[in-house]
This record gives sequence, C-alpha cells and structure tokens, in this order.
Amino acid sequence: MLELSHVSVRRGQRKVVDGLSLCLSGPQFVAVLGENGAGKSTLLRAIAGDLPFSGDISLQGCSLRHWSAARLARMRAVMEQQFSPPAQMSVLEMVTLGRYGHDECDKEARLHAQKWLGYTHLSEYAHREVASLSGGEQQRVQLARCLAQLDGDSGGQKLLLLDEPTSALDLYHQHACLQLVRAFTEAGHLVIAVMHDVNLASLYADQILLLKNGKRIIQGPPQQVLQPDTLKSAYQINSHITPHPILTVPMVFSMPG
Amino acid sequence: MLAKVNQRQQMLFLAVALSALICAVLALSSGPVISDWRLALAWWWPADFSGIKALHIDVVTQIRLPRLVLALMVGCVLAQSGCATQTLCRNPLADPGLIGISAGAAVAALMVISLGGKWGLQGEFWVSGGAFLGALAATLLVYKLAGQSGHTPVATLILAGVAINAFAGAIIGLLSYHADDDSLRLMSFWQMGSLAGISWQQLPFGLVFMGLSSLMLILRRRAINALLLGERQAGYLGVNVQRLKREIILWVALGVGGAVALTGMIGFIGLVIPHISRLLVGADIKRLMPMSMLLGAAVLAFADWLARMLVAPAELPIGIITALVGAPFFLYLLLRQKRHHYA
Repeated sequence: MLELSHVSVRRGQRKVVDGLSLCLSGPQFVAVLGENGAGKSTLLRAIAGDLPFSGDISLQGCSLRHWSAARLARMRAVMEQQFSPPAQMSVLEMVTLGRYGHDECDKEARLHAQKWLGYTHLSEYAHREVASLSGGEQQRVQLARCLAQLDGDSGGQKLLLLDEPTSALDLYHQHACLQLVRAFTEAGHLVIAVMHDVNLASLYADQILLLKNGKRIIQGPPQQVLQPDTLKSAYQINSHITPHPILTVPMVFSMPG
Repeated sequence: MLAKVNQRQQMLFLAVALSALICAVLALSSGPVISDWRLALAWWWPADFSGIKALHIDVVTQIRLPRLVLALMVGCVLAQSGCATQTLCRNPLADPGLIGISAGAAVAALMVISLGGKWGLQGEFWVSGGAFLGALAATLLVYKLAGQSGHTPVATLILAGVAINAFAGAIIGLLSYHADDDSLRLMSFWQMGSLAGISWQQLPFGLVFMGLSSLMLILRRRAINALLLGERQAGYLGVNVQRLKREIILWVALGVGGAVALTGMIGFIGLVIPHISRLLVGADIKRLMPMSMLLGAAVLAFADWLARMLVAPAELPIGIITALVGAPFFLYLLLRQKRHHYA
C-alpha cells in the first residue's frame, strides 16, 4: 500500500533522510525509532506529502505527487508532535474539524466526533477550550481528530501517521491510546508512529524501523530489532534485553554507556 | 449539553439581530431635521402619520436610509474581513485597518480621485476599483512580510501596519493638497472615515464589491474554519491551502476596497468585533463569521448614529468613535497576548 523507493529529503545542505526504500501494507503497526535527528519526523512528513523529496513515494500504487489534497485526506491522517490550538476552540469543535473532507451535514460530523471523544475518554471535556487542557489531554484530542478523519468505509486501506503520539501521556493513557491505535490497525489499516519509548514500541508494534543518519539500520519484528548490538549502534547505549515476564515481548533495560 | 449550547447561541444570534434592528430604527428616526420614532415606519408603511411631512419622508429615504444601508454593509464587511485576516495570519490582532489594508485602499482611491481625471478614470467605479487594487497590494505586502511559516509574529504584523499606515498618511496628505476639494476636510474623511453625505447614486459599485466579497467569504467558511488549525493541518484535512489563501486575500481586498472607497478608513471594527464574537460563540468560523457580520453591522450603525448625534447639527468623523473604543481594546489585547507569551 505504501512504497518508498530511494527517498531522500534534504534540509539545507544536510540529507536528513538518505535513500530510503520501504514497502509496507496493513494491517500493521510500524514504529520508527532512532536517536534525535535520525530523520524520523522528517520521514513521516515526507510520507505525509508535506516536504519536497527526491525518489518516489507511492500510495496504493499511485505516486504521492498525483494525489489531490482532498483525496489524500480521506485515506491518511497526520498527528503532529507540535501543535498550538487556536484560541476559544472547544474540544468538540476541534475533533469535528477532522470530518472536513467528508460529505455529511454538521450534525453527522458532530456525532462522529463525539464517538471518538468517547473512545479517547474525552467526552466530559467536549465543551472545554482545547488551549485550557493539559499537554496530554491535548494530545488525545489530536488523536481523536485523526481517527475521526479516517472513520468511514470509503477509500479501502488507510494510513495513520503519528509523530510521538504518547510523549505527553500518563501510563494509563499511553496504553489506552496505543490500544486504540492497535484496534485501528486490526481493521486492516497501516499505522506508522515515530516513538521514543522502545518498550512501548515492543509492546504494540508489529515492526520496528530503526534509523540512524537518515538510513535504516534494521527493520523487522521487535524480537529481531531489539538486540544489544543494534541498540548500541542506534543510540550508543549499553542495554540488557529480557522477555516481558507476562507478555514475552522483549523489554529493554538501558544502562549508562 | 450540546442542545443547551446550541440554544444559548441561537438566543445570542437573536439578541444581536434585535440590537441591529434597534440601531436601524434609531438611525432612521433621529437626526437634526426631525426626530420621531414613527419615521422608521412612515417611509414604507402606507398610513397617515400626523406631523410627518413629505419633506421628512424624503430626509429618511434620501439621506438617512442610504447612510444606514452603507453603515450596515461596511460594518458587516469590515468585521467579516477581520475574521478572515485573523485566520489567515493565525493572529487575533490582524485587523484590516491596523495592518494597513485600509490605508492601501485609501491611498489608491484618493489617487484615482485626484489624478485619475487625467486618464479618464472618473466615477465611482474607478474609485472603488482603485481602492480594491490598493487594498490588494497592501494585503500581499503584509502577507509576504509575514514569511513562509504561516504563523505571523505580532511584531512583524504591527510594524508592517505602522509602516504602511505612516506611508499612506504622508501620501494622503500630499494628495489632499493636490486635489481641488477642500483639502483639510478631505484628509479627515480619508483618515478618520465618515458616512456623511452619501447618496443612493454613489452606492452601487461599492455595494456590489462588498456584497461579492461577503458572499464569497461566507461560502468558503468551512475551509477557512479548517485553516484555524494552521496551514499544514488544514492541508492534511484536504484543504487546498495555497488556493484558499489567495482567495481570502482577494475577497478581503475587494470588500475592504469597496468599503474604504465610500467611507474612508474606519478602524478597529475588524479587530474588536471578531474578538467579542469569539467570546460569544467560540472560534468555529461557521458561527463566528455570521455573528461578526451581524454584530459589525449593528455596531457600525450605532457608531454612525453617535457620530451624527453627539455634536448635532455638526458631525464627528466615525473613525474617532471607533478608535476611542477600539484603541484601548487593542492595548488590552496586546497586554493579554504578552502575558500569554511570557506565561
């Protein structure tokens, strides 16, 4: 569904993403990991169609350059890391904006929004101003908006791009939100999430893509990627890997290098 | 909860519409020649009102009515343009007057009036057209100054406005002396605004310009609403952002140009009205824009009534009244933004 061939993104003189080729399709949750400046967010923005790149990115067999904004909006949503909410906008209004590209009346749009507010445990905040919420709550509002955007039967397989979706969330909501994202992938869709928490990635991702200097170090299921030597080359840390006592996925214990 | 919110907002719309109606009645029924509330009825109601003569009816239909129509339309368009530019710049201080759009329109209109005769560009159409081009040039300039980030810094915006306004002031001063008309009166008209002496004959082009701008902006309210999230997010939601931005600039320039050509520069409506409306109905442009239009129309009709009545039978430029209320409000907004900035 998503295919990158020899994609490079330049920022100034520097190649932030360097000749990356990928082929991904849903249902799948792909976590993109790597140190600061490894090119994770830049890669995500290139896939979102937001940055000029060389090489080719194609979605459902059609080059990204040929997709119109309106058509693209019906099959991919992007949750950004940084976000400044406009003044006086309520949570419900913001999530309803996710329905912009759908042909439906305001009332239907609001019903969709309310459904996703329920799933993200935000129903009681529906009429609060977004700017008055905590960082974590705002992050959940963004996730609800993205999921509301992709809600609907049309367009087949969908693509959800998340840039550090859990960075401001408490433990409970980290799991609640990632479970929601998992449920989304299980409906047949593809999720690509830039993450920093290696263990959360191990718990939820089907595949991990480990980047350094804009290039892939390794890509594969968590058991294969989360190894002391790969983590050493990606993050310059020493680590000890041991299976989760209950869930058996690998857990990483990092140590000062 | 939702039903309650909707009901409250319907009541608010009703209340504002009612106050607009009261302002209209005030504007039609009072003035130096005759003040009688029945005048608001007498010009269209086929009945005999004792003490109201044909002359009085003429005063209402030929002097007060065109002036009221203009006030309602200009208030509506300035407030609506304020909504649109504030969303475009993602900054609640972006008022067409403050950032120099009105000044651009005024300079261009005055140029057509004082120099256009040489090239055969006389009449209301060319004045409105000139004002539109001036407004367009100023809007593009401010927008270019704002840079690529899509998030216009307050300082850039205000400084651009200061520069354009100062330059426009100088040009207006120069041209006023060049023109044949009483130069001092002309200068005060362009810089402070006035609806005095407007007649039906002067209205058509300006009204068409403003009406078209108003219609196109309200038709695009859904896309403008998505732009509240910023250019990037609006793009992710399926808005063709570059096209929308060009459209907003074009329609705002057309509306402000049409308004300024007829009334001169009336400040602060585009700043204060959207802000109050936002407090009343929230940020959603689909409600904010109609509310701003309605409230802007009511407020400008009332301000014009004050301009006529406070020193009757003389008149104040209406811009004095809007600035007396608007400038302190602007300072308050600046202070608040500063506090948020450092918080």
